Amino acid sequence: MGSSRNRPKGKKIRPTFFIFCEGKTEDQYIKFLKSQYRIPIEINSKKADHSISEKYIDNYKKT
Amino acid sequence: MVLEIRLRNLFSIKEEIVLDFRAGNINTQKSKALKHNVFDFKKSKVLKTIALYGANASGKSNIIRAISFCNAMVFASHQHNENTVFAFKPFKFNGYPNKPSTYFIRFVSNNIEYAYSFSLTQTEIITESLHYYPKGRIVKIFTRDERHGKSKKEIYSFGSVIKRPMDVAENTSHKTLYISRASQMDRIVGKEIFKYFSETFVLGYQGFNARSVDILFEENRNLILQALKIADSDIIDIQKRKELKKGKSFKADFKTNKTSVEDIEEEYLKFITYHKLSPKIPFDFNSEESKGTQKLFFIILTILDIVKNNKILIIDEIESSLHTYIIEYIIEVFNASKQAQLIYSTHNTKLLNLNKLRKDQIFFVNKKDDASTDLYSLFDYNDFRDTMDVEKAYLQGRFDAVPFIDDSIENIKSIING
Repeated sequence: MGSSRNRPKGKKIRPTFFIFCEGKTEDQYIKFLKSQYRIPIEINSKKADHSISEKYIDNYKKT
Repeated sequence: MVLEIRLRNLFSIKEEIVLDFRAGNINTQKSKALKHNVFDFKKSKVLKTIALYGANASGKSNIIRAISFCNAMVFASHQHNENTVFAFKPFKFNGYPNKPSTYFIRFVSNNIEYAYSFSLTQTEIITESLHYYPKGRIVKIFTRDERHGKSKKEIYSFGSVIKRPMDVAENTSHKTLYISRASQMDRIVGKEIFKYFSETFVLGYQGFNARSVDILFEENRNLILQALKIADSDIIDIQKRKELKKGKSFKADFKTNKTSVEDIEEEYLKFITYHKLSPKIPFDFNSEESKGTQKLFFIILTILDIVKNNKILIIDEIESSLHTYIIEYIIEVFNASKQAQLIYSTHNTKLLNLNKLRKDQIFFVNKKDDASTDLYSLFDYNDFRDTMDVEKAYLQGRFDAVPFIDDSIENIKSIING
């Protein structure tokens, strides 16, 4: 062949951000930012109230 | 065979995008297991299929439209005249309507690699070039640059492949591609390239005449039956029958101003299917089978023609009215072929699986902030590991190329209720 495949562009996959918040307002705020800036993120909303602990965060990340 | 396509400033495509069929150097266990997804060409591997994924309005269809337009230019531009406006639009913003649009394709015909390109505005060709690799090294066939002067001698430069090349140049207007005119004027390389674009690179599903259907059916009855069984598991057999159809033939003689009607009998092909429940009761394929089954029958005929003759098929939204298993079957038919190739756009995320597709076969089409189309493959990501779930990551937006939807019930309620 006259040439080989073009070099990979060296792109990085979008990281996963975990934002733990206590109520529905924060959830709506993230959704607003998503639509405002067209951010292709998935939002998994689960109301945790005041029970956000280190253990809760670790368990959630594993799922 | 196609090796590489580059597009710039065509429809929603602004900066150059590259569709690369040359396989990447991937040595993972999963890619090794997919040895049928590639074929060998001169010590290199070439991909048989490429999938385009992306949100609606990201530009998937525009990529296919741009390729279709540029290919059609090769086999149709010799028909253009002074009032012709080319059937494409350049990128609409940032001053791009005034810039030239470019097409580059690297392909193989009769086992020889060619590199062909042209640039144009909506009203005239600006540059054009054709090179080939007869013994592995690049050799010029011709170059053309309308900006170099007014005389054809200033504009064109030739190698030694085309006989009396300046005769063709003198007959090539600024609306016509040189290669298109060279084919019309009986030049061997011109005809070779023309044939590649008009016959080998197939733009969508085709219609067939009765004779072609007859031959394709005879040669591939079992394969067709297998595909129909996926669509309708009740079908156990399909038979062909030639029947005579009575009709009328109207004749008009303009010299005598007399008309006449004659009774005639025409031969036509009739297909009959048989079903599991009552294997002896025939079903008329045209009137008693579902529209989906009928559509699949003709899709399979196109694909068989492509696969048997090592052609290239380009299809927008391959899943249109077809079940996901049938899509997988179609892709497997290409994988079983010797050198046939398929470019398709799809929303079928079930195929986003590294046990089915290699990383370099998966392309993402993304709409950038400036509304232009970006194209990149999973192979371009250097931090993606084979153990990761491609489908899940794609749907999470980790490669971009997904729609932005606020599907919260509150938002939908506010839209409905105003």
